Amino acid sequence: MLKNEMDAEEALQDAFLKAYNSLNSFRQEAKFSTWFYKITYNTALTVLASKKRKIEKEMSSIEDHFDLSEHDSKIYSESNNANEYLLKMVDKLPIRHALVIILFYIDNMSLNDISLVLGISLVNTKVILHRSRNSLRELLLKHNYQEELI
Amino acid sequence: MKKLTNDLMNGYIDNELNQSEIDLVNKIITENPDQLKQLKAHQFVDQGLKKLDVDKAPSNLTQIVMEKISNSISVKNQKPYFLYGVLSVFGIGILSSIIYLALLIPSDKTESLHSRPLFDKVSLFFGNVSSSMNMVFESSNVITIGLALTFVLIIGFLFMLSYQKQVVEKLNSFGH
Repeated sequence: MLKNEMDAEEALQDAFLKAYNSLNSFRQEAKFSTWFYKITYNTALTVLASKKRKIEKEMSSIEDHFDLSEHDSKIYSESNNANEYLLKMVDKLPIRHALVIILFYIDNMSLNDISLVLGISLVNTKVILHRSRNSLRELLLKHNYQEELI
Repeated sequence: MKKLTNDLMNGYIDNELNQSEIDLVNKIITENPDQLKQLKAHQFVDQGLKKLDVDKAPSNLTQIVMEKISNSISVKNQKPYFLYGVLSVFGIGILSSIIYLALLIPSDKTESLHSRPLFDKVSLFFGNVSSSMNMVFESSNVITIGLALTFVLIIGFLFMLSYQKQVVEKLNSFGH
């Protein structure tokens, strides 16, 4: 999300500290992990905003289109196989799309929990996941990577 | 010829389709190799994403976080000694003034103070303090000293505000 290891570490430390200081405000309406993810997400957004990056562009509505093809040639030439290519393309997804992918596939969170963390509806979370997959699929097809699967 | 929609493909890999929809998907991919290719690519995305690597947090993260938390607690528990100092000085000053003024009571009234009931003694004491204060404040030197003390008080108050602001900023810097 921050695309910078030092920023990510700083945000993670601050998130732990915020969680520690805000433990009294945790009302057990959601799972602790969801609450903590939300704090981490908001802290990362604060770090992004403080770096004056184009956060508005990144956090735009899911109705906005994103185009991965602009990064395609460079990443394709740099990748040794389909998996590497896929992972690099995930990094080029808009922040919220990449986050949904990461939370869903790496952290095994349910779509409902992801929607709570990101503060968006369940339907929108699902739409984001599907759109991300669809876009990645089109790129794989373009390079005939699907043959490596089965 | 029917095509696989995005919804069908996403539903297929998420196991959200009912039997008739699964049959439909199977029929389409059997009849149309291009659609099979599409579905394979979709499955590849799903399986590839499951292999995403997790960036490990640095090994000393726990230590760093605990240090930050400890610092935050020590800042929170830090007493405003400057404020206490200023308040103590002025408190002692005011108490000393009252005691001094009480000692200025004229001797004939002091004698009667010992022989009267407690209520009268108290009334007499505060009456004496009041009259002594009037006497004292008639002097221009006392007014000058009072003004100087007020000035010092205001400066002390400004220092106190500045100190408090610094503490709040420090706390906020840990929180963000």
